[in-house]
Amino acid sequence: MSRFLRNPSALVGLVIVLLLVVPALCAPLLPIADPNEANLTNRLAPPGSDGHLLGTDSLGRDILSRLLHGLRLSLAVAISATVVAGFAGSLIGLLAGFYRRWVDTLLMRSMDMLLAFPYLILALAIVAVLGPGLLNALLAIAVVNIPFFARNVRGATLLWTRSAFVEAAVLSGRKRPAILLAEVLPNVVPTIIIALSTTLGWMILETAGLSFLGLGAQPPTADLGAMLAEGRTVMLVHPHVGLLPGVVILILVVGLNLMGDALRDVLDPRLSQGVSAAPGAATVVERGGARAAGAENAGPVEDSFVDVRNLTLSFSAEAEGAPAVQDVSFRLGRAEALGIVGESGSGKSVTALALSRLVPSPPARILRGEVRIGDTDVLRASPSALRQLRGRRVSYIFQNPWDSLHPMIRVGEQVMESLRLHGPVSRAAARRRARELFEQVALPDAEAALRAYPHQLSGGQCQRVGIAMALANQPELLIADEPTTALDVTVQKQVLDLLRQIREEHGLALIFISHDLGVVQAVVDRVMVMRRGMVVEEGPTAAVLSNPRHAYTQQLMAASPVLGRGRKQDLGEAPADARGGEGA
Amino acid sequence: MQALDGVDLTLREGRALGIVGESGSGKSTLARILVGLEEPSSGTVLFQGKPLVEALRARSAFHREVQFVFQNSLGALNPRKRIGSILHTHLQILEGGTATEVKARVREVAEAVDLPEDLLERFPHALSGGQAQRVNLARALLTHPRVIVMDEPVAALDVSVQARVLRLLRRLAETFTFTLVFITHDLAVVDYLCDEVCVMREGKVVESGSTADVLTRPHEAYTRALMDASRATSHGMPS
Repeated sequence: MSRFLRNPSALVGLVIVLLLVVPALCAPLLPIADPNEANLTNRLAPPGSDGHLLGTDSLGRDILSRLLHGLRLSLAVAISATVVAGFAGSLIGLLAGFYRRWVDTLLMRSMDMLLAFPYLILALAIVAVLGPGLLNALLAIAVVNIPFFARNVRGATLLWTRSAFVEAAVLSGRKRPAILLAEVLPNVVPTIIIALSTTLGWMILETAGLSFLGLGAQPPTADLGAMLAEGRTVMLVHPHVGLLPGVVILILVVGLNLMGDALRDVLDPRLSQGVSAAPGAATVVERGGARAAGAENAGPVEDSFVDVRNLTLSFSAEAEGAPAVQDVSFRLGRAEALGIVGESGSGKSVTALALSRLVPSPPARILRGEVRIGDTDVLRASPSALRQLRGRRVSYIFQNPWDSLHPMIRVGEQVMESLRLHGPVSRAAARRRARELFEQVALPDAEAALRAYPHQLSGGQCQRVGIAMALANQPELLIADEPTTALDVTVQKQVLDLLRQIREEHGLALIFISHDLGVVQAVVDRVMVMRRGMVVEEGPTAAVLSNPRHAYTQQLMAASPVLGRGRKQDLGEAPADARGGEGA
Repeated sequence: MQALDGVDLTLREGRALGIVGESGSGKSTLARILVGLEEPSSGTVLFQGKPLVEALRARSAFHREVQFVFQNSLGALNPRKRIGSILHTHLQILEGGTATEVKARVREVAEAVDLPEDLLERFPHALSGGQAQRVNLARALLTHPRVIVMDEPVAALDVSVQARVLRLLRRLAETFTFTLVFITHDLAVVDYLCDEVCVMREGKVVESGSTADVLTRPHEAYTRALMDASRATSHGMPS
């Protein structure tokens, strides 16, 4: 609720709606004229005339009073129609989405039949059959809105019915109807509320529309639509009669829609993070006056290709809270391989992305440090220099091979595109090169693989394509972020072998990121253990593994069971603060 | 498509069986059949000598005896319900009892899986992965079931959190005495936790037997390949 009120458009909408609704609700109590009391001697009085604040209509009735009473009526009809449509539509959607099979077919096909008629025509037809009158108009607009609710709610129900907690409820012995009501429905309620709130303004317009055509409110009672119709006849000479109800409808609908949109922003889980500003092209660097000691004085060190010093990066807007990466320093030679090991939240992936300033800003800011790759000072580099760096000199391999490939483009095309993006290469030459790369990463039948879509390849094959793409422009630094975590163990071993072989053949520098010390050691010369944004230990792989100095490294090693040790191993005791870190 | 193809398996009471396989091996499907979430197209599962189909006619009675732990620990908890209420309802439906009895039992089991009491008041999204999985363990244990089937319960957890859950599992197996079916892709975990192992591939059982036997003298090439892969990515020095 407080989040709803903090939203400016919600507040404006709420104020508008309250300003209109409260007087309308109190209309019978207010000291205003009877809305239906005609006075033919005082016809069409202009606004501001004595005793009639907004003037009178063609029968001499007080417009203010008629407006308030009309608004009451319009609101009552629109709200009732929304509730009726919402209830019926939600029920249909819930049943169809939950029970599927013939229930779904029967219910949704009948909804399709309703949708087959144009919206207004259907409403008119219903009123034509039932006869004019407010109640019939209400029924008509309720019926034509049922499919909207049914479809929305069915979608949400389908989604939630497939979730694991519904199966868990089966294992808790819940019966099917109870699962629908107690487990699924509470999760669908936000969808229903959003649909209700966005429909209400629409319903006001539809009620007014039918009344305007003379099919809704019957004289002498008038809702806003009927008043509009009455005003139309004297439009040219006395515009205020028709203008006033029109303006009220406009303002009310705008207010309701503002509220509805805000409600959706609050309730829709997909938008709960807020629509944040689009991230810029490079991570923002905000190094204050105080530079870390020793960061500035030295130029690039002999032999080191990547040189990172005191890199500090924060995601929070203020200085409060620990930075995601804190004073991380390391060096990497031209043909060296470094493993970065850590658990979730250790900052290992952020460090890797920060090397080419790929961490999204906002919210990320680099607060301190130096990053050099070859002769490029990354934190001072121009956008065009960064573009040169990324994809060409530095390339990445990501965890989920399917996510990093476009699902609708043949993988061969994708590799060719990344080749042609970085230099003038003919199509034929790019294709030859792509084929060559596919052979290098040992894709069986390279020719067929070029023509395959990602979904036609297995996880291991996709990751090989990812590696081929990363190698396409002969990078000097390859950064692999958990490249084998999503793969089967036997496939993982093959991909690790491939990485090791590529490293030897191409002589490129490699940064290998993983949560698993065991996986890292299969590929790298040196390993760096990170925890909560800081480096806890760094050294040659064999030395760290055989003689870990830091307690955290020891724990990490003790934590994963080793084949062949059986029940003897005790998997260590989690350190006191690691347990705390496990909290949300 | 056949997910499982002629699987024969016998499990004795009180033992821990590890079912190992890679993606597409059918290990998860097998687990779901064992707890009655899916039906086999042919063949029978006997539970305590009776066909599973018959046992499932009395769902509550069956689920008091046979429970399941999902891999997606957070997804298995209704986001709109507090942890305490999730555990409470589970026990209430399956066993009944007065509110005080149920409450006492929930508290007792929560303690057994190291869940602090204030956590019962929280909603699932305020839990870490490890905490969520311990809630799932608690739920599975509430009725003192005779069989618990777990589908990759630690695969999505951080290494040190995984270690904690595994240690907890071993401790629970001693105090609660249940038969465990543990589905995993990780032979090293089976070696740590299970008395028996069953290696699966493409819907078939490749090899099965006592963990000690199979892992010291694997008969099948595929088992050896799995073991090699596990060793190649292990930090363990020969001991």
